[in-house]
Amino acid sequence: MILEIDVIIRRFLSIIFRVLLLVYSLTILLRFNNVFEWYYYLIAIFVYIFNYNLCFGREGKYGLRPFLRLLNDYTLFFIVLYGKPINDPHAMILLLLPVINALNHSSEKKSRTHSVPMYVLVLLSIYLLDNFQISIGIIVSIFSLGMINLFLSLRVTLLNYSDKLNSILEDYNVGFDGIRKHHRLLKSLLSKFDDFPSPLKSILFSPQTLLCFRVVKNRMVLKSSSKFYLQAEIQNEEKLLASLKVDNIIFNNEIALDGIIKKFNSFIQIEVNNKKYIFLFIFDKSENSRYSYFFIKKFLLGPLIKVARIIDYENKLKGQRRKVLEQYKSKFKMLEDTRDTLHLVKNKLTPIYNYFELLERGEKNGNDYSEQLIKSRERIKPNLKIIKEKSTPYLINQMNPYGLNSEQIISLKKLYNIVINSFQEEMTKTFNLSFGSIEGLNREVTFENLEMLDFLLSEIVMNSDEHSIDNSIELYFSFEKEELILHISNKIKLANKKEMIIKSFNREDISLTLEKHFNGLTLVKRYLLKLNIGHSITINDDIFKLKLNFKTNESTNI
Amino acid sequence: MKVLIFENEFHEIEPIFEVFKLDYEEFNYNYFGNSQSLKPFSLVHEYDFILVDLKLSDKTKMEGFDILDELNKLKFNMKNVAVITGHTDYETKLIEKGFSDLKVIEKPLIITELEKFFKLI
Repeated sequence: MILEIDVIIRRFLSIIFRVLLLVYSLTILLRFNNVFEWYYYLIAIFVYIFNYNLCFGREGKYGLRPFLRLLNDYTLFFIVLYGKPINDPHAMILLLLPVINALNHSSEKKSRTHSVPMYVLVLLSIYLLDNFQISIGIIVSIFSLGMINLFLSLRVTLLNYSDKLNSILEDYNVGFDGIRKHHRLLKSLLSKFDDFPSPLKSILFSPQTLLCFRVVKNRMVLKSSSKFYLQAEIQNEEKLLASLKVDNIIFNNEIALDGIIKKFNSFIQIEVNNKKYIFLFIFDKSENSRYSYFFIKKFLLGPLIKVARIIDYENKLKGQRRKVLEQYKSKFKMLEDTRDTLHLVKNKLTPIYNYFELLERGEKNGNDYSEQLIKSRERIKPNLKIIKEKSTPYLINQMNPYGLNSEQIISLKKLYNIVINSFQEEMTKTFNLSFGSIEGLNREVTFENLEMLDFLLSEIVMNSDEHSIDNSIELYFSFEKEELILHISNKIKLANKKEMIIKSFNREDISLTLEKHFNGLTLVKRYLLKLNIGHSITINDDIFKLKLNFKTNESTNI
Repeated sequence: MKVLIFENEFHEIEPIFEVFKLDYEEFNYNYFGNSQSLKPFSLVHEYDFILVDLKLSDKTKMEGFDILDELNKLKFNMKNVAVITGHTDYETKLIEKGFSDLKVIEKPLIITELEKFFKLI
C-alpha cells in the first residue's frame, strides 16, 4: 500500500520537476546571451513537452522510457546551455538537477540514483558544452554526488524492503480453520530476499532456506520451514541453546537436514509469549560477517518476531481446537456407549416379549407351552437386572458430557454483555432494551456451566424470535436483593394455552404437559434448572413475560 | 423345513424355535455361535432358511457380513436369508455390500414376524 502511494507521489513529483526544469531553463535563457533565435528555443521546449508526454507513465516493454525521459531532459539542457558559460553555477546546476532529483525518479524498477547513463550524460554534456574539456574538480564533484545518492538510495531501498516484508505478514491469513500454512509465510519471506537489489543482496544476505524451531524442554522442535524436511539434527544442540542465551544470533552451527549437512547458517532466537522460537537461515556459503549480523539484528528481528507471533498464535488455535475435539470425543464416546446399551436392552427384551406372546398364543391355539414359558421366565429376571445395571449410569448427571463442567465465576458486567450480545447477534427482530436500578456492577455470578448459559440464551432468543408478534420484544434489567433480574417479554398468540403454560412451567420440575406441548419452553426449563437460575412466567393480555433471577455474590476480584 | 441360526446368544431366543418345533411338525433348526462351527460351510445348502446375527462373538472367524458374503458366493437363495439385529445403523452397510434387498428382523424377535418369514403362516 505504501509502495503504491509512493509511486503515485513520485509520478506527480516527476511532473512538478519537469515544470521546474522548464522554469529554470527559462531563467538561463533570460539571463545569458543566446546563440539561437528565441523561436528555436520555444520549439525545443514544445518538442521537449511533447516527448515527455510520450515517455510518461509505465515502463514500457523494454523498460526504456526512463532512459528516454533522461535523454529528453539532457537534449533540452544541451540546447539551452549551448554557447553559455558552463562553469557559471547557474548554468552548471541545470545539468545537476536530475542527479539531485534522482531519488524521486518515477521509474517502477531500478533506482536511478546509481544509474550510470545519467552520470555519463552529465559528464558528456559538460565535456561537449565546455569546448571538449572537463576538469578533475567536476569529475570529483559528480562522483561525490553519486555516492551521496547511492547512500540515500540504500536507505530508501532498505525502508521499501522492510515495507515489503511487513506487507507479507499483513497479508497472511491466520489459519482459523486449524489448517496451518505458516510454511508458506516462510517461503514468501525467503522469496523477498531475491527481490533485494543484486549488489546489496550478494554483500548482505541471500539465504536458501528458512526454518523455524520452538524450544520445548530444552530441545529444538521443528515447527515450520520454507522447504519440506523430515528430520533436522542439530550438532551440539545444548551448547547452541546456551550460546543463544548469551547472543541471540549464532552463525555456522552444523545441522543435518534429512541427512545432508548444512554448515553455513545462522540461528536467531526470538522470545514471544514466554516461548522461545529459533529461526534458522541456511546459506550456500558462509555469511558469518559483521554485515549479516548487523542486517539480522537491525533489520530482520522485527519481521521475525511477527512471524513467531503468527506461528505461536496458530499453534494456540490448534491447541484450542484440540480441546474442543477432546470434548467431542467424550461426547461421541458417550453417544456410542448409549447406543451399545440400547442395543443390549433390545436384545434382552426378547424373552420378555416372548413370554407374553407365548401366553397369548397358548390361549389362542390351546397348546401347552409351559416348558417354553419357564425357559423365557428364567431369562426375564436376569435380563431385567442387566437392563437396569447398564442403563442406570446414563441417568446420572456426572456421566453426561453435556452436563455440569467446571464452575466459572464471571462479573455482573460480563453477564450483562453476554445477555445483550446474544440478543443483538442472534435476534432477527428488533427489541427494546431498558434498565431499572443498576447496582452491584462489581458483584459476580457463579455458573456451573457457562457454555450452557449460551445454550439457554440462544434458545430464549430463538423462541422469542419465532413466537413474538411484531417487534414487541422487551428486555428489562434490574437489580434487587442481591439478584440481577432479567425480564424478557413479548406479545404472542396464545389461543387458550395461557393457564397450561403458566402451570406447567412454574413448577419445581419439568412436567409431562410441558414436554408434550411446549418443546422450546421445556428446553429452556431444563437449562434453567441445571444452571440453578430462578425463573417464572407470567402472561397478561397476551404479553408473555419470562423472569430470570441470577444470584450474585461479593466480588472476589476476578 | 430346516432353519439355521447364527447367533451367539441363542439362549435368549431359544423358546421361539422350541415353540415352532412344537407347533409345526416338520420344523427343525440348528444354531451356531460362530461361523467355524459349521464345517464345511457349504452345508448351508441343507437348510431352507438362515438367520444371521450381524454381531457374533469375538471368537467367530466370520462376522455377520462375512457370512452373508459367503452365502452369496455359495449361491444360497438370499430371499431365504434374514439378518437379525438390535442395531439400527445396519442399512447403509447392507446397501454398500449389495444386500439392500435382504430381509431384516429387528430384535426383540417377535414370534409372528418369524412365522411370516418362514412362511409358516
